[in-house]
Amino acid sequence: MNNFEHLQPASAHSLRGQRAQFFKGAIDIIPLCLAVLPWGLLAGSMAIQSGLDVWQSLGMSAIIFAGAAQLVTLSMLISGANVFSIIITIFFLTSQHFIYGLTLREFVTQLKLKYRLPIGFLLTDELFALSVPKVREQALTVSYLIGAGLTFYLFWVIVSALGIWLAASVPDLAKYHLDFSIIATFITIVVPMIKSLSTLAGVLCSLLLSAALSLAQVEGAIVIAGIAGMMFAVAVAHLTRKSGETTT
Amino acid sequence: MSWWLLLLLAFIVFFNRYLFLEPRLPLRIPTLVREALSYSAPCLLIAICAPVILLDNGELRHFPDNPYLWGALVSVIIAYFVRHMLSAVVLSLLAFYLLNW
Repeated sequence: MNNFEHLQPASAHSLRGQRAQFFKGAIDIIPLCLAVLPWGLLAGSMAIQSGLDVWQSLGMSAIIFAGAAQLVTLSMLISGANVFSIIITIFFLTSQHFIYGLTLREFVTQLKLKYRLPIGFLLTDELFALSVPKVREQALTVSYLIGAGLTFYLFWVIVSALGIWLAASVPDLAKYHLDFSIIATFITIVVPMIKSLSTLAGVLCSLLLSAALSLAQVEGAIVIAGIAGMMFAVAVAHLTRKSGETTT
Repeated sequence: MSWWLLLLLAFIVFFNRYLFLEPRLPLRIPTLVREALSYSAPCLLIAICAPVILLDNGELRHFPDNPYLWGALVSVIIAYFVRHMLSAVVLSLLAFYLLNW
């Protein structure tokens, strides 16, 4: 049930080991960088076209650092939404981070503030995906998280800057289907985690519910589907345990 | 857009990300919630994938002529047999672009 017992902070690791972990993180996140390339360009060019100046446009990517939140903010600004509704929307749009925080709580709360703050700032969907224990053959380390998170951050800011520079002449990358890279990566991470009926049930529940709610354009579809899948998985685990089957 | 709105939004996003990483936040996670959290990664990651696979700008992609759907299924098969993450991702991408060729 508790899959964090083998996770220890990196304090015991050698400097060389830390550096290796840092670069491993930086390399592992490259496919996810590729996936957000079109979004970064779009965030930059859309900011300029929404009337933000260059520094604000760059500031959005450098300070907010959340693609979906940035794009939704810009489209709400264009459509003349009021500030309060933007704030509420962004709060719920980024609420899946609460679950990431809870999941990583046991690992991160043991760390010093100087590591907790950057990990908190860098904690995107993509970094959370790589923090999953099954991805690495060894325990999660701070260096790995910072290496992956920082690479992703720099990539995001640089690509946004490129989008700002190109502004209206940003190329249409939709036909290159770069967003498939996120599917390839997340599926690669999820499939080895499915080792029990309960996990399979939870994943299928989340998948179907997320598809249905997204199609119905329900706000917070991903969080609702994720939490529902988690609860369904727990229910299935308890039911199968009661009926005498063993879950591995 | 004013700078204060930008900074406020940045604060909200950071607050959501950092809140539960703070050790001084008094929080005892009940066993049942802890058990649910052990499923958080597969459930949320797949929930993020679903709309990307099925929708294009809020509209349902064509079926069965949806390269994302077939690509995703091929990814599942590759991920099942290839357990080295980066190799599996690269193979999945190769398969996807070959399918689209």
